[in-house]
Amino acid sequence: MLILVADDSPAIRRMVTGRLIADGHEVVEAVDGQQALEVARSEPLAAIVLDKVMPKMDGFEVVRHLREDPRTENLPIVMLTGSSREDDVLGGLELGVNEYMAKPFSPRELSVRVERLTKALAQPA
Amino acid sequence: MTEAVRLSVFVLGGLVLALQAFIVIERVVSDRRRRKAAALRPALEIELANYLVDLSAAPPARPRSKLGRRVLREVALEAIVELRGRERERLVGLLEQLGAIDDLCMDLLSRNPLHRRHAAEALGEINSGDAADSLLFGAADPDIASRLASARALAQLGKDDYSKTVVDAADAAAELHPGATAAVLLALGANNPSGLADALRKGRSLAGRLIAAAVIAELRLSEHAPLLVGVLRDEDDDLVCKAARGLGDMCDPDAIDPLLRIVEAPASAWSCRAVAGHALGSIGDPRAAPALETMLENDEHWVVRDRAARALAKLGQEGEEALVRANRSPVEEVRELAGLALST
Repeated sequence: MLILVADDSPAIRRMVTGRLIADGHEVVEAVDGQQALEVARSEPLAAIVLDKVMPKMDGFEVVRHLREDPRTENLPIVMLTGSSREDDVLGGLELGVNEYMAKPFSPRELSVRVERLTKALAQPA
Repeated sequence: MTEAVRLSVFVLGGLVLALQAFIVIERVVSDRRRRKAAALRPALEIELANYLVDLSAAPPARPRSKLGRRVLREVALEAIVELRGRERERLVGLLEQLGAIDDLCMDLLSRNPLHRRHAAEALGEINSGDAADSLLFGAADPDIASRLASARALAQLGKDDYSKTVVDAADAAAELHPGATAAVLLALGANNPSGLADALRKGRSLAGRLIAAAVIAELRLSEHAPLLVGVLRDEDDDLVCKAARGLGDMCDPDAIDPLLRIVEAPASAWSCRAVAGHALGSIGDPRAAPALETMLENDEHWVVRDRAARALAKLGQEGEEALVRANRSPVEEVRELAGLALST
């Protein structure tokens, strides 16, 4: 399954990518929100791991665009963020984020959450 | 005379030129170093990510150049802030192997206070007991920001042995740096809750004790409740208010009697009576209803009467009955407050 990892920090991007590849996923990377949106619209993704704070377009804005587009409205999204403030979490969930993970985070836990989300989507209703 | 002026201008011009040349050379050297660091970074990031993710992967080799070691340390420190779990543990182990902790401990001795502060902050992120002795030294740093960063890093180690040093550093900075002091005490309370008792004791500065009470209220750990109960007998009204508010936020049932003593003591400050009344409402125990009813009807300060009415509304049936009685009071304002509380 193809997962998009969008994070402006190269170290974190590579760490998450490495974990997901080790767990058997294919990964495509984006370094900012705009690139993430372009990739999400052009690639057959199974899920997105999205950092909240990114250059050009922040994570919330990306989610808003994705949820407005019929091609990506149901795409599972795991959002990574430095803030666990209630307003931020609720804001993300209301926009349509499926999972919310506050930094510092565990890449293994992230991978499990991605796995669970993609499996849930693959199962027939 | 003219010769002397000419000579001065010549010397001055020479100095300016030399200074400009020095600045240009510094800039070129610094740009070259930055470019080299940027070129080294991607490979080191990949190597580090592979090591953290793959348990069988060998750790990145210690770079031979000083710049390489610095870049690897930077990458690792950037990652450590964002990670927890096994990857973080592996990263801390790697930093220890690479000698980064020793390097950072040496940085605590730097002449540049900014380097000392950054080193203390980084050691706080790594959270290794190996740095404790150096951080104890850093907690006496003449630069206050470096001192507080070392104190915070020590607090994060969570050991009783360092609590006094941590509280000493926080207390000395409380008046002028309340935010940084709160961060130090929060770290202490989260990692070694009993350590905060020292920050609240008499003999510490009032500013420090106020921050400690606010931090305890923020942490809401039940083991801290007796500390706040003890503070309710303090002579400083602000401190009593902070403690009462914290106890209400914690909903600690053991605080009911001490809070009632404040509410029922006519000599206590009106602000303390108001906060204690509010806290009793937050705890929600109906035993407080009679005292709050008396407050609503007789207290001389309208804010206290208002808090009493709002608190009664949270006490269930007993509180509601008290409000219904107050709603028939001959005093118009009491009726209004009771009616408002009943309607919300």
